[in-house]
Amino acid sequence: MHAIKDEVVTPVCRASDGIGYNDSVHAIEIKELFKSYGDLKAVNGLDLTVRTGEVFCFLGPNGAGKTTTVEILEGYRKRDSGTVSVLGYDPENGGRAFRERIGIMLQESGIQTQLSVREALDLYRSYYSHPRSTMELIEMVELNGSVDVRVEALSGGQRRRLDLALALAGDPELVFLDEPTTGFDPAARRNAWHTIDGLRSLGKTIFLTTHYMDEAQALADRVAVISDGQIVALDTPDRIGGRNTTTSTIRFLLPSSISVNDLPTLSNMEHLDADMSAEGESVTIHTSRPDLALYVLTSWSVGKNIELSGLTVSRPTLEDIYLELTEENN
Amino acid sequence: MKAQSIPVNEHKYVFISSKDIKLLATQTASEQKILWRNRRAILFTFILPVAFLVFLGASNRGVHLKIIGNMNFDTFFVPGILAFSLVSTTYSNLALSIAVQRDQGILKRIKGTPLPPWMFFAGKVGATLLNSLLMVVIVLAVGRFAYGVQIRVSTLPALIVDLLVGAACWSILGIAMSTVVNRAEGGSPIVTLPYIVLSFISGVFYPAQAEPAWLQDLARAFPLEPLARSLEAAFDPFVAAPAFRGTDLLIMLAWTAVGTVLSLRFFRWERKSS
Repeated sequence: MHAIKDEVVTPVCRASDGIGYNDSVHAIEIKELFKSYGDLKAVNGLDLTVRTGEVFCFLGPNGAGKTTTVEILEGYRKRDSGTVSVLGYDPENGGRAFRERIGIMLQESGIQTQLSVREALDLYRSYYSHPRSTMELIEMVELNGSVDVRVEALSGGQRRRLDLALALAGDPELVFLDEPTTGFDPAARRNAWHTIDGLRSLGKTIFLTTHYMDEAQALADRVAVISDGQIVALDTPDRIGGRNTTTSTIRFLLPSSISVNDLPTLSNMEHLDADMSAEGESVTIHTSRPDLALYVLTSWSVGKNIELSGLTVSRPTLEDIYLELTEENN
Repeated sequence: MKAQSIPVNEHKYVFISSKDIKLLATQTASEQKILWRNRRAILFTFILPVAFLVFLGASNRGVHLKIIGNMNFDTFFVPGILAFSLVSTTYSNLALSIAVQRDQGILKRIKGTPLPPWMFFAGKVGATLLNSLLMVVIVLAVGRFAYGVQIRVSTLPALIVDLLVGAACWSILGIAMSTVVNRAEGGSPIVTLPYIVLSFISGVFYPAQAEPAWLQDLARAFPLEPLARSLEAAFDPFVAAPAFRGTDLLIMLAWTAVGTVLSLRFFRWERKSS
């Protein structure tokens, strides 16, 4: 009797508990995604998986299909074909339950300018079943001094921080951040990064779009580069595009008394793949084994008591790799 | 006995939960707050109709309108201003506020939250109806106490029905009109012009009987003239109670249907990308 009664009384969970949720390790799964606008293939067979709890950075030049892809994930656009799963929902018809669990910080979207910071937060908080507290949100984005200031009186950076707070109002599991720090001063950017880092340690998944490579480098667990509607590279910021295996650059200045020809010959040494060029006093060496090249160079210079001033060893930056990847495809 | 231990699910089959009602109230209150802090909206929504009421009334004291059976000017124009006010609090306010919020990306932001779309509209229309109620009270109070217009108890049901149908019709037309406006700054004339023009041909400020027949017919095809005439009937002491005007109500209901279809077909949450 009891068993039957239970079935009658508790047929399904509340809508906000997430019908269709599966406990997969992937927050986002995209397979064979296509979307065209007329003849323009904005997204052209894109596959992508975002793991739960990672900060995933989505890079790509304007017009590469980045915004279209993100807006399909957010449920703003309908796809032409392919499968998309976001937290186990199809964003096209996830409805209220889906929206309870995601937060969206759009690139440019207004806030009711007549409301104060507190009123705006309270309004958007009221849309969610389990919102964060207003004070917590205000502290997260450091708007403590502007709680009762109207949105119309906020600076661009402050407004953007309120934007971030509004995206976090519902305490979402998955947050889409579209160029979240554009217009921030350096200190505010560091603070925003700190907030995003904090979200990661709470186990939230962050889908971050940015044009700042240092931001991707600082925050991302993995980076994907989109070009012509497809993913052209996907890896950690340090490994993407073979960044960890490509050649390094050694630079230094030779004292004027020393000629380039006096330097030890690196070019015919094994394993080095070295390639040296000089311009005046400045010497540049490209090599796949900077450790060996430096050993040879510094052994020579220390032995002869010559200072190689301004010595640097550098790997290509994320930006170098990004430009290389996106140029190849254009 | 066991059922008592699971109270959470008891409300789940109710169409609107108490939580949703609270949400609706929050939404309405916030829309109200936004409106009252927007000077331009207050000017168009409240100041303009009240100014017409005061100045038009003051400059026509004791005038009787021969063209419509010697009707007292006050009895004619108080319902006219009532119609005009209702249109500006509903249609004009909704069209402009939705167009501005779409242009600023606020609608897109709201679309990304769990707020159900119907609740967004309900909040807006709710706030609008509160404003309309306030304007109705102001206009009736001025009409009654400053101009001595009789508010007839016997035609009160008709008056209320006329106002409700008019509010519904012009609210949905406001929502429909908001879809036509692409950029908020350019929106004002597109939204305002039709109802200003209609106001002048629909016998709101002065009788339309002197107009050529084609113009009268034209006015009658739109929902302001029927609203003004049906309200006028409720005030006119020579019209027998209950003073319902079926054809006028039907014209307004037809426009409500047209507005609904247009809104459902053309409403967008995002502005058109340039």
